[in-house]
Amino acid sequence: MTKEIENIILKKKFFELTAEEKYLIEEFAETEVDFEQLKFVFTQVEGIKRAEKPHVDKAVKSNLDILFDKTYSQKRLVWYNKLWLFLWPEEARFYARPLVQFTTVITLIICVVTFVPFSEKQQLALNDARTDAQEEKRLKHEVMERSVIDTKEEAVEQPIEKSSDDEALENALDQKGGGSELEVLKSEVSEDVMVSDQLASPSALLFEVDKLELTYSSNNQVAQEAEYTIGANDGVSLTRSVTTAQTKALSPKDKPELFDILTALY
Amino acid sequence: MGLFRVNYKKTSDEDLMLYLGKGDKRAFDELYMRYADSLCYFFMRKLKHDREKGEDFVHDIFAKLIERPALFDVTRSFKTWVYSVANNMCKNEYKKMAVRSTTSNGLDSSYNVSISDLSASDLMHNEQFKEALAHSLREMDEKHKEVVELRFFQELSIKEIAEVMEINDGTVKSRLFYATKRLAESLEVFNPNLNREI
Repeated sequence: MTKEIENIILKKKFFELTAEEKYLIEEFAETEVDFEQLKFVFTQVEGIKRAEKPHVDKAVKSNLDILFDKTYSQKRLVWYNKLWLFLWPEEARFYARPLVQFTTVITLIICVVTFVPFSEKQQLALNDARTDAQEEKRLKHEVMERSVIDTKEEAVEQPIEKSSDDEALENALDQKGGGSELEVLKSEVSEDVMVSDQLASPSALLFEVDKLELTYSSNNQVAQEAEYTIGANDGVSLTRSVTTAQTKALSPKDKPELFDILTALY
Repeated sequence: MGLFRVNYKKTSDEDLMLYLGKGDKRAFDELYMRYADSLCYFFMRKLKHDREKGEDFVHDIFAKLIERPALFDVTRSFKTWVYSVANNMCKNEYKKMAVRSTTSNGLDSSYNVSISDLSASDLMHNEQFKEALAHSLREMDEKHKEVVELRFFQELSIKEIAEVMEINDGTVKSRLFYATKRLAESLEVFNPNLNREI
């Protein structure tokens, strides 16, 4: 008799049984009388079981606990003893005892790892700012490159937007007084401008930097608004406030306007 | 910390036995809590309600577990294994001595029956029913009696009974069927509903 049949008999009344349940219990109880009789027996047995089920005396558990401790503490003792005898042999000299040796080795390893620098890499702060000499060299190189491009007989179509601006710059500088002054201007380029500017594209501004002094300063709402000043080395400047979106598109758009202003000034 | 702590309440009996074999006291406590009372009841019923003897047997069976945990075959179910050991212990006991009941009617007069909320007539009715039940079980073959004990008093499943008794499921079912029918018939007179109808 499965638990299922037993549950059906215990929990249901005969008229509540479904056809499936009747089929299940058919073997044990065909009629209602048989069903009721089985229910009665099961209920009584359940009651007896609940009433009779004993609780084992605590003394039994105490005795078993003692036996358990005796059995397993001996095993543990043997294990500890073996390990201790290996680590601390009484017959050996102090320095020859494995525990002392292990401790010494571990201490040495910790000291070496902690205090000896293994990496040959210099742990100094990196200075990525260029020296004046390097900057001068870089600017000279750029001017040389531009002059080579200008002397080409056939104008090569440049995909970069700067190409027309380059020419405008050259013209503007030629009018101002020639290559010697260009170099002077280039040497006056402020490094701070380029380093601090995070809102506009540096590559787009590089062109202006060659000939103009640009300073950018962001207000408290950096992401939304920025102010920039573009000026020449003689103190003439143009100051505008722009949003971030405008700043990104600033250089290519504003160059002609700026050149016009600055050319007129010079 | 919690990651490595064993939840003994949720651990299976078989795993608890493994821990016990390694000297885990809490595993032993949990196993004891799960089985001590049931085994004691099993022994008591098998040994004519001799509570003292039942407790002695519980002590013996757990002492075996402590001293020789390797006796347990981890591939088997602990429950069926422990009940088969208990069953064998009872059989050995039967062999050792002629079975003597501690009381004239086979029931120990000293054990408590906590049915104090019942009326005197109900109590008497229950006592009579218990006597009749004990009598019916005594009348049965040992094999039928064992099946009834394990199924109704120890709540073992058919499969578990089959494992404990080392017989197949079908045999357990047929024995249980026969024993249940016999019990129902012999205890019919105690059913007030049927008597009224009659």
